[in-house]
Amino acid sequence: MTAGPSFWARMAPLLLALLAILASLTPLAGRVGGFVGPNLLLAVFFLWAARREEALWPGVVFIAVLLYEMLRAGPIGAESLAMMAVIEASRAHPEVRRFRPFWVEWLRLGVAAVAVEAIVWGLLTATLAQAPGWIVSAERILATILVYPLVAAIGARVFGVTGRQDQDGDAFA
Amino acid sequence: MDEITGGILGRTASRILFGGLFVFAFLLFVLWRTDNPRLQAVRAGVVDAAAPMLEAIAGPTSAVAGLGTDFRSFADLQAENQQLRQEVRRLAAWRDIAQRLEVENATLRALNDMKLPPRRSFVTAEVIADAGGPYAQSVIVNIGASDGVADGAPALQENGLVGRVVGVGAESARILLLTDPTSAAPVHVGEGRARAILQGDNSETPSLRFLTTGQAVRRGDPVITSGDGGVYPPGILIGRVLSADGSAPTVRLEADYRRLEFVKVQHSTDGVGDALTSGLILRPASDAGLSDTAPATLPDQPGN
Repeated sequence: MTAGPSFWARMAPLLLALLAILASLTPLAGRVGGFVGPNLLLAVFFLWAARREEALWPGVVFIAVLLYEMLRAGPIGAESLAMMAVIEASRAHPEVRRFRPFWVEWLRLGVAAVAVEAIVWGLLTATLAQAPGWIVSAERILATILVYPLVAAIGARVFGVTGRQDQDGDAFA
Repeated sequence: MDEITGGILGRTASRILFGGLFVFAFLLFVLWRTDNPRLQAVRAGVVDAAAPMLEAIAGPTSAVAGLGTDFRSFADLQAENQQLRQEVRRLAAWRDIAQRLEVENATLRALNDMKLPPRRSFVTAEVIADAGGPYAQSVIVNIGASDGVADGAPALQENGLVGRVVGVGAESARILLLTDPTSAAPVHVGEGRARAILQGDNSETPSLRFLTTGQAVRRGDPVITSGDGGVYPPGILIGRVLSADGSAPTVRLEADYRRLEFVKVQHSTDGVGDALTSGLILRPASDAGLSDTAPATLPDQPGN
């Protein structure tokens, strides 16, 4: 019987997500009229869902995204809901991901980013709340797609989250 | 067999957990949409708890970000020095005029038996987090209720209005910026004091909506808070009209949002009063064309 992921292997995505939250909130430059920035949390959790889905608790996604929503101005609960749904749908069975090249994973990330923005937009619009403009959403989707290779490289180098089945075990396993 | 049973139970538990969290997230969204005060209090508490960590990170990162700006400034040092000397001379002249006007104003009010409103006091705060994103434009500062900050208090930079406080914790507060799409500030525009609403739109130049019909605005007209609705105290400088073309003129903000490191937040014990006594004196209309010459009414040319 093979042992499941260790406690620290399960905490690794939360740790990287917390760093992503801090990076998103750092006042590096005025954002007024400028670039919105990528959805780093989606990139991080999608990486784990695609490569180490057994080490990704649904609770970790909820906690991290809810924390980010609390700190950031804007709706609470909408992005948590969207991210949990999309990440759950993005979980890749180990037998499937063995043969999946990076570009397919990258494409799936793009679809996930569009899905998150669409779910949030739908929730806000249905409840007559202010939803972000389509240009802002498009910027965010594009930025998330562009930043994913960097997140994947960090995940592979630092946390051992690679897509190759023969390189078993995370850095924390 | 035990492995299979364990696997099924594990997946079932995971699905139950997922379902429960999904419902909980939806409930939180409903509470947010209904402006539940307890949820807002929890949010302020979370910001309070994270504030020390955000503050610890904000210092070094702001210093690093400032390096590039400082390097560019160093390259233009001589030209900038000359420009600043001229600006200091010009502002010194205006300071003298402002002080004379203030005394004259107080005298006239006393003659008319009018009580002067108390001077406002401000608390200076450091911006520790840029909480903006696709939904809102806001920043988090490192002062809160314990420093005398209350919900709705205006926040200013040295040049002009930045926004207002929309959430207060014990040691931190959230400031909604004028550029946020949900920000709507009642204003007066120009010498004719045309009424309008300054509406944020996630851009650097928010637009003037619902401008009083029949009132023309020109490029360079000052935009100040009108005090209508009690959203902001009256008389605070916001900016100047940038483009008067089209149905919604745009405004160039006086506050420099790209260098929003420190803000002044009005102390909660102050009453609403005339902002002209707070130090933000408007330049007269003759300066609307951004002239660099000293005003003609000065008796002497001021020295350095």
